[in-house]
Parts: sequence; structure tokens; C-alpha cells
Amino acid sequence: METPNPPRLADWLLCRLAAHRICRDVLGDLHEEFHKLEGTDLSRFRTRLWYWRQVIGTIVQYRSARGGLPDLNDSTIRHGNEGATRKMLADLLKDTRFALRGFRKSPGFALAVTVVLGIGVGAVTLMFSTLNAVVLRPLPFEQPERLVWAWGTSDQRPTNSVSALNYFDYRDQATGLESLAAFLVFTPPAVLTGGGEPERVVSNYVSPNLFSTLGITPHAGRGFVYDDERAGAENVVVLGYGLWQRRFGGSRDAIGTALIVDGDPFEIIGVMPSGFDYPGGVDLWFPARTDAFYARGRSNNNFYIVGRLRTGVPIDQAQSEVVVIARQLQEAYPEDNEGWSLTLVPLHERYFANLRPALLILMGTVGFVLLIACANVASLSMARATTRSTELSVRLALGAARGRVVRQLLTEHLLLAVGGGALGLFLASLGIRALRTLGPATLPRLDTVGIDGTVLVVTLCVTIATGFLFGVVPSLKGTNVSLAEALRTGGGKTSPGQSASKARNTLVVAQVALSLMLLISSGLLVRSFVALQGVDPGFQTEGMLLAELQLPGGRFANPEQINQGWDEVIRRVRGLPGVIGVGAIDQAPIRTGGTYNNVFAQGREPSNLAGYTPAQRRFVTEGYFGSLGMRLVAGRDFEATDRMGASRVTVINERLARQLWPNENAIGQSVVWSPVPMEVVGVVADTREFGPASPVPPMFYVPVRQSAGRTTLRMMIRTTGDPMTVAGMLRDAVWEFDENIPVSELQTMQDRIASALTQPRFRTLLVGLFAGIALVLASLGVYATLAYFVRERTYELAVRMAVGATARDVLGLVIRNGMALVAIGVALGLAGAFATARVLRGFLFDVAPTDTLTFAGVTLTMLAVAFLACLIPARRAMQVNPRQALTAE
Amino acid sequence: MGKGEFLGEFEQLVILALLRLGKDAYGMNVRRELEDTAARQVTFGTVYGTLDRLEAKGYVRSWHADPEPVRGGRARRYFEVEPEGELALARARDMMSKMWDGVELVTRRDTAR
Repeated sequence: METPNPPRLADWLLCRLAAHRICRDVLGDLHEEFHKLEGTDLSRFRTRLWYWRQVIGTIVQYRSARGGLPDLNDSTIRHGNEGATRKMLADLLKDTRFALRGFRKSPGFALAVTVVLGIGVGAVTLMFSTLNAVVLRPLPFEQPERLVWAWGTSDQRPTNSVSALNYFDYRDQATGLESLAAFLVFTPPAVLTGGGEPERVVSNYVSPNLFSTLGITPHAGRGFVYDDERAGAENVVVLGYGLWQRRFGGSRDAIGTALIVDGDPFEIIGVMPSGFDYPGGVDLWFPARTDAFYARGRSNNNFYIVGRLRTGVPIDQAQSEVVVIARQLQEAYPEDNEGWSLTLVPLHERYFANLRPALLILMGTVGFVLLIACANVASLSMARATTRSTELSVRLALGAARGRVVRQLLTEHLLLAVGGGALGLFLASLGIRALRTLGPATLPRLDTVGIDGTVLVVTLCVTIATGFLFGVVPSLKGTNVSLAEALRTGGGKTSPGQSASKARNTLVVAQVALSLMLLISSGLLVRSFVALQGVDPGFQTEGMLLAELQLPGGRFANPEQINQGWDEVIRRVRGLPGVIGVGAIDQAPIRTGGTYNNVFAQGREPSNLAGYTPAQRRFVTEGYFGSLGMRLVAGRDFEATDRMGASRVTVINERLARQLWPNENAIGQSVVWSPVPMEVVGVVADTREFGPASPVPPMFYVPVRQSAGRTTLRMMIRTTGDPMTVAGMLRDAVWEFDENIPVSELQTMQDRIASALTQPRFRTLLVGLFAGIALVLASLGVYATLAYFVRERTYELAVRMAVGATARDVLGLVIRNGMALVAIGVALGLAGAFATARVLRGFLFDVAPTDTLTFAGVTLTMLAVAFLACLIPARRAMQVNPRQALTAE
Repeated sequence: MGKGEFLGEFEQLVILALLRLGKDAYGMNVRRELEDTAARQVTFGTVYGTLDRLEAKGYVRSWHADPEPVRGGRARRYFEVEPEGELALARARDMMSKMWDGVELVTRRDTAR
């Protein structure tokens, strides 16, 4: 068994803070006794505790001994040096007990500060742990700082993929890159049959050096070698860890056996380690072959490129090198490569750059909450210090060392800080749990968000800064009251020093202003989200069931068999009870990404690349538009007669029609999708293809029958009633026809749209939550300040009432005082919100960042809540008994 | 006799511990002896502080043995009482005896520490 070691941190501290000879002598004994104690049945924890106590005690004893007691030769005084430590601890205990007693007497203060601290610290911890896990942690590859991503770049498309042929040239010629790997842009689903359930898995075709470029070695077996990519090489495949466990029970005997993929056998040569699924969700890797269809054509940009820089080569150097190569390729292959280059970005940036704006907003929000919390703690501490000024000055006058009093205050604030910090950690852990279940799936590595060492350090710093700093400094200022003044003016019932109350008022104003800004942001996001939800997608959303089906290769090998297969499937599905329409498409609407194809109007062939119109292409069955409830604006839908061999037809959307034939009728014209011209037989209304928030792309639809045979299609099934009730029947109907057809990704259209809104929904909820917290904190600040105001002015209020002011007058006075501060805060907040409106523009949909309705509504809410916060102390002021207050003087 | 030649209570305990331990008198054992027999919980810092002072006064001498792995490669520091130290200890005991002579404690309670 391993012998445990004494805590290294303790050793380091000892040698750092005590003389070398102490370190030398003591450490040896400590280690020896530590190991001796380990052999006894004393628990590990207690042993370490003993160790730490020894180290700290020795340090303290050493340093206090050095602190110069007057007579170094007087051994009678020095004999109990361990008493110094004990005395210090006893003092600390005494201070703690005194502090706790004080908290029990006025629990409001302690509770308020702890809660406020807890909220501030919790928010920061939550945000930082998210940042830490999602962005700051390095990518899970070998030396990730040397990895780069290569975009194919042209003027029109700065972030594009690259063709296989171009990739090979770059791979051969770029010397600044140690290796350059590529993987297919799309992750084709693969159907595994034989030896178990038919299973659909995500696969990818990769260059043989992808794994080695990323620095990941297979868990079992081998990865790919360059031999595997040549034409005519053996069919091999590498499994993902999850798939290996699921289908082969994690047995190494699986290596070398055959796996049937889409009807063909592939030899399993290796298994990747657990957790590896690059480029995302991949369970199966094939070597990309130089003779495959995806590798042909220098203009078929089917690959994304990842590379590793050679040691010592900076990315700029590699970048200039690939630019030179790109230019050479442009000259060598002008038709394909004109205007195309390669841009290298650090891999980390490629994955996380798009998160930056959202994260910045989150950080800003949390920063605001923290500032409000700090202001709250400071004003509460100041107020409390003033009320205690009598007590403190009496103690000072009676001979207590100023240092002692200061230490007392420090202990108090330390306790509050510890309490607040602990509460903050607890709240943050709740928040993290909520985040992991509710957070958007698009946030990478969400499941690794947690509180680790780094996060704890940050929490500690924030706790100390907020709780200690903002608590201690105002408190100390509060001790600067002379005894005479304190006794003369009656201590707790005095109007405090001018500067103190001015400072407190400033803090309240700041809190109100900051929380108003947060509330306005939240309001804008809410309105934006509501608008998003209300966007008409251009098709029917209710009663729509989606399902993805794939016809396995064996039985459906040629286009005719495939089309017949789909006909049969559709026929069966349409016959199900509750189904009123069925259509199919290769890529369902409401999605991200999608390939653009360059098209042009026949007869208007563009002279250069810039003249082409990029449009989204879809393959659909006849009846798709009707089932989905898409409006046919002109012309007709596809028919069964639009099949292979008949003249090529297409249906385009309004957007494309407007772009290609701006003021003409598109029906009868032809769209050229190189090199094929297709007659436009119909125009459909625009649809929100990429989700409610994104603009409508130009689209053209092609009948499935006129394609080379699509084996994977998404069914759109219109039902009466709840779509999910059809789901079970759908499976049965399909498997009756062929049990090898996987039916997957069942969802309703409404769910699909909802998940497209996950990010905005999450943002809105988060900012809303923090804005609500800020409102609570600010109200607390207003209430507390006013409460102390009343307490301090009791005498004055009593005098007023004694000379004839009514209770109502007093009420009015207090409220006016409070609302004056709130009004200033609101004014500042509005100004601030106007000034920073621009920041939110990118996140708002259909709402101006200076939307009047939002500004007005939020302001009124704030005033109302603040008014309530003023009311409570005001009413208490009304109840001041003049005779009691005056005679108490 | 100068004031500095009187031993404080703790110094006496330490010298007694060294005498009790004999050949095994090194840092760790001294501390344990004080803890076990005299029931005094002390830190290493205190023990070594006192031993250093006693050595400076010439009552005790120390030397380092060979380094040992169980100590992280550090050497044990052994102590031995010098004749002057024994003398000082005896003086302290005599002084106390003289003061105790004739004194009877009114309350005979066992004060356990």
C-alpha cells in the first residue's frame, strides 16, 4: 500500500515563515512522528490535523518570539512560549463569542449581510465555474495550444470547408504544420445490422492522421495508417468506446471481427478511448478514401481541416505559408480555386469564439449583482458602525487598546464573510445543478461544470474582497468617533457624521441605478423572446410528427428500389389512423447549417463566382408541401410523374424567386444547378428554415424521384390530435414492411421549434433571475438605509411631533427622503441603460434596445417596489411616541 | 549568581526529559516525553526554542546523526546534558526544596493538569 506523505503545503509554509534551522530540525521530527502516527489507528484526518497544528504552532511561536519581548534572558517569562499561541487562540475565541452575541442581539444585520454576501459570492462562483469548465479549460487533446483549424476562405465565404484534392496539396506542402488532418463535413448515419438490434450510429470519414494529429491513441487495437486511405484498400473501421461497450460488451475479441455497416462487412481494427467522439457524437470512424465520391472534384468542399503546428512555429508563420500554397493552387487550378485561400485559427478559438458575446453578457450581469452586493454590505456595515459608536467609544475610553477593538471588528466581519462565503458556495452548487439539467445543449462541456480548486480560490478572493473589505473599511471608519461627541449626542440616536450619511445615500443610489439597468436588460430580453416565439415559421406547427428513416443498403440498392421503398413506406404511414398527410424531405426545417449550392437563372450565366446565387437545396416527396402546410404561391406541387427520365423540375421559394427574377413570373423559367437546368413549376412561401431568429434563405426543392436515390429521409406526418400517439404505430407500420429500417429522432414540430429557441430562452431566464435578485438586493438597500435613517432621527421626529406634526406628516417626511434617493438612482439608471443599449442589440429580436415600453414599465415597477421598501420604516416612524423618545434623552 | 542562571520551569522539564531519555534524546522523543510524562502539549517550535537557548547557555549540547529516509532524508538532532546543566538543575531542585520546607498546604486537592 502507498505510504501517505505529510502535507507538503504545511512543510512549505514552515520553511517559508520560520528560520532555516527550525525548518531543518523540526521537519525531520515531524515527518518521523507523522509516519509513526500513520502506523497507529489514529485516523488519517486526525494525523494531518495534528501535523498542521504543530506547523502552525511552531510558526506562531517562532514569529512571536522574534517579536521582541523585552528581556531575552528572562527565562521565567519565556518559559511558556506555547502560552502565546494559546493566548492568541483564547482571544480569538473570546472575540468570536462576543461577535456571535452581538449578532444574536441584532440578527437583522448579520442575516442581511450573510444573505447579501451569499448571493453575490454565489453568483460569481456560478459564473466562474461555468466559464472555467466551458471556455477556460483546455481542449481534451494533446498539447491543444498547438492545434489549429483551417477554414477555406473566399471573399464571399470566410468560413468554409475545403475539398479533398486541395487538402492533399496542403498536407503535402505545408511544412510549418507538423500534420494536417481532415474529416468529412457531414456525419452520415450508418446502420449496423447482424448480431443485435439494427442500430443507427453517427459515423465520419476521416484522414488516417486525424487521431495522431489530435494526439489521441486508441484504447485498443490500432488507428488508421496512410495505407488505409488508398484506393482499393481493405474495408476497416474504428469503434467509439460507447459503441464497443454496447454492442461487444467491451471485449477485445471484437477487434479483428467484421462489423456489418449498411450491408457491407468492415473489419474492426481499433477502439477509441472513452469520451472521445470527435468531431461530435461520432461512434464510428472510417478512413476517407482517395477514390470515394466525396474526394472527387476540387470544388466539392467536403472536408474540415484540423492541424498541428510544428514545435516552435508560430501560427502566423504557418498562415503565411499556406497563403503562398493557396496562391499556387489558384494559378494551377483557376476554375476551381479562384479566390480561395486557407485561414488558420487556433482550435480553441474556433470552438469558443461564438460563445464570447453570450458569456460577456453573463459576466456583465453577474458583475452588476456583485457591485450591488458590495454596496449593500458597505452601507449596512456603515450604518451598524454608527449605531455602535457609543459602545465602541466607551470601550476605548475605558482603556481597551485600539488594536483590540479593531481586532474585534475584524473578527466579526471575518465570521460574516465565512458565513456568506459558505452560503454562496451552497447557492452556487444549487445553481450548477440547475444549469446542468436546464442549460442549453449547445453549451459545450456543460456536464463538466463544477466547483474545483480554481473555482474555490476565486470564491475565496471574492468573499474576502466583498465581505471583508467592504465590511471592514466602513466599520473602521465608524470607529473614528470621539468619546465626548458620542456621549454628548447620545450615541445611537444621533445624526451621524455628514460624510457617513452622504456615503450611505450614494450607495443606495448606486444600487438602485445598477439594478434598474439590469431590470431593463431583462425586460428587453423578455420582450424579444416573446417576439421570437410569435414568429410564423411559414408552415404548420401543430399536430406534426417528425421521424427519420433510413432504407438499408442491401434491399434498397438502386434508385428505383429506393423510390419504390419510400412509396411503400409513405403509403403505409398515410394509412394509419389519425394521419392526414405525409411527406418526406432530406433535411427537416428548423436546423442549423446546411449546404449552399450555387445556382443561376438560365440564360443569365454569371461571369464570375460572385454572380452565382447560393441557395439551399432540398429533396422532397410530392405531398410534402401540403402535409407541412406550406403555402403554394404560384404553380403546382410535384407529382408522381416528375420522375427520373422526365424533364427536370424544381419548386423554389419566394426569396429565390425574387432574387433570380425580381419583377417577373418565375413559373416556366429555369434554374441552373450546374450543369442541370430545372424548370420552375411552383413557388412556395418562405419558411424560417434556420429557426425563428434567422433570416430566410433562398431555397429550391427537387423531387426525390429525380435524385440519385436518397436512403435517408425525414418524414413529416400531419396528424389530428397528439402527434406522439402516432409514433408507436409508425414504428410498427414501418417494421412490418422491413424490420431493418431504423426509425429514429421522433419529435413533434413544436418541440423542434422550442429547442431552436433554447439559447434565447436560457439567456432570458438567466438574466431575468439575476435582475430579480438585483431588485431584491436594491430594495433591501433602500429599506435598510431608511430604517437606520429613522432610527437615527427618532429624536428629531419626536420633536416634530411634539410641536404639532401629525403622524401623516412624519410618514410623508420619511417617504420623501427615501424616494428622493430612489428617484436619483432611477434617473442614473435610465441614463446608464440608454448609454449601454447598444451592447444588447445582437441579442434582441424585433425590439429596439431603447424600447420605450420596456423602459417605462420597468421604471414604474422599480418605483413601486422601492415605495413599498420605504413604507415599512416610514410606518414605524409614525409610531414614535414623542413623550417616550424625548424623556429618554 | 546571576539572574540568568536560574532555570525556568519549562527548561527544567526539558532537561529532565533529556536525562530520562538518555541515548534516545532527540527532538521527536523529547516532545513526546513531555507530552506523555509531564502531560504538557507543546509544539516542536517550543521544544527546539528551549533547547537552543539551553545550548546557548552551555547547559546542553547537540549533534546531528545520519540522515534517514523516514525523515524525508533529514538527520536527527540528538541532545545531551552538560555538567553545567546538571548543576543548574540540581540548584533549581535545591532552591525549590528549601522553599517547600515547612510549608503545608491547607487544601490537599490533587490538581490534575
